[in-house]
Amino acid sequence: MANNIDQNLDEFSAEEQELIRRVELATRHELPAGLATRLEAEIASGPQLKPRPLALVQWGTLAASLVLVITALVLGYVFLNNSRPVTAAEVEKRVGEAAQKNITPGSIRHRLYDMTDAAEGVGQDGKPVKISIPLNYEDWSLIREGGFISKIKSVESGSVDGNSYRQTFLYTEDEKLNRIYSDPPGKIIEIPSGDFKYSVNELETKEQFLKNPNQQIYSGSLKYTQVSLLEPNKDSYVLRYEFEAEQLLEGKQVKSKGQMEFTVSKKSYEVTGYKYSLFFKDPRGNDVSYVRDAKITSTELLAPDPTRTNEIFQLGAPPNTPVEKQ
Amino acid sequence: MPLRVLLLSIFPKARAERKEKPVAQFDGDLVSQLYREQAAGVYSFMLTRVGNQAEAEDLTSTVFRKVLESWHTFRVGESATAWLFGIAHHTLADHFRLHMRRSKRTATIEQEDLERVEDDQEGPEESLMRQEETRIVQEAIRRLPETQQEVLTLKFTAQLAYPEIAKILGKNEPAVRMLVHRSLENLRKELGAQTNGK
Repeated sequence: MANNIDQNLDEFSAEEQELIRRVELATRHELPAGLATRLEAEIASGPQLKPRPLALVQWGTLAASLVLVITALVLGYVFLNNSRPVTAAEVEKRVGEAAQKNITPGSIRHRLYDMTDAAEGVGQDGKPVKISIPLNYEDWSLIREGGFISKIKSVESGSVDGNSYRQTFLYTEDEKLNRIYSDPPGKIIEIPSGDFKYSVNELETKEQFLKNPNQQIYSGSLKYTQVSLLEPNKDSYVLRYEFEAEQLLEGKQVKSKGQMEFTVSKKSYEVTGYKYSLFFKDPRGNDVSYVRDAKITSTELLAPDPTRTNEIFQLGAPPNTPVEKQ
Repeated sequence: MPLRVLLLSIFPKARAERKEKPVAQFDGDLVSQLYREQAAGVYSFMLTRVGNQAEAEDLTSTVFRKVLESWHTFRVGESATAWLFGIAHHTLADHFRLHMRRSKRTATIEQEDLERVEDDQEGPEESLMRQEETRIVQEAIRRLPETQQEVLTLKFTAQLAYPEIAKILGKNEPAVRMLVHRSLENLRKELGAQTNGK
């Protein structure tokens, strides 16, 4: 190779050509045998393919593509999330989750104030009875355990048609009734008679109070028929449960329809309001309506209930107050 | 494809890159041909520049390994020789940068290395004269500025054409021609000074 001088040197002067020949002779060498063997082996083994490195521009393109895709996904998610109607089941689930955070390890008491009762009907004497009373509620508490209402205590006193009265209601619910709040919308749940228990400790004006409609109504069965979700304003949802009840009243089967509405904060999913209404015909064919409307204005944690049984709730009852089991 | 249009408008270089010649499929025959025709040139180029046979062998081996690994950078229609020596050029630059050998490269080529390159046909006296001539010329070349060393070895050691050298060095062809003439002139002066200095 050292003598393989094949360049066209016409452009160079004779002196330059001589110099070039010296350079070529001094710098051109044969390939050492060991190196030749090594190179031939490497070439024979073929290409050692490596992932093609990306040029800077390609990295930029890739990064920009990723940013665009991620932005599109985020915007799409936000858009869909905002435009997709929220279902009642989703709100129920979140209400349950929000309540769960508060009840461990004990229970939570929602104190209801600003509550009004209104009832219209016909008394046993055949005269119309219309009651609209801002009652004096000494205590009206929904006791929530496991995210659901499990016990209710109500101590009410007031004046109806000049007659004072005071009554205490103590309720407890079991798992079947709690399913109202946990099963999918539209499912019908049979609540056998007696599952929703109550007791009346004091009732001074039972004659004036429509024979205590609560007692009669809840002694039958309850069919949960439908739940729907309303959005009355930007701050809250309303979960509306419609139901049908069938119970014995004065020894006769009476069918009734009613609805419960829970107002739920969109921010915290806490229940902030409660409304209950019931309509039925009494055994004599008179229309009776009963409406309760309340705001839940405060909550407080209660001590854990060590028994966690379905026994009638006694928390807050005056000492020596007899509690009936139904 | 609106997304691609948008990206290309944002990154004009990406659009330019799309217009480049397509990547060549790996061609084992072409690699073998490159090896047969240019391996000695690459080795000579390296030996002249680094002045050490072991390093020159390693660098030559590195160049052909990169040829195999970097085939995707070779474009259809491109001069394979220019592409090969482009790799050699960058490999040598990396070597100098890593080993900081610039100052040491001016050292005299080792006697052992000279003996390895001698012609077996020559007699002992001719061989000694050849070794001395090689030493003188190589030392003179290494005293030249970096670019002049590069252009002389690419042109007369590796025997590349002007367009190929221009592509490797990123210069235009007339500039390379002028650089070659200037380098020869400087080499002539260096050799004259060396001869006079003896």
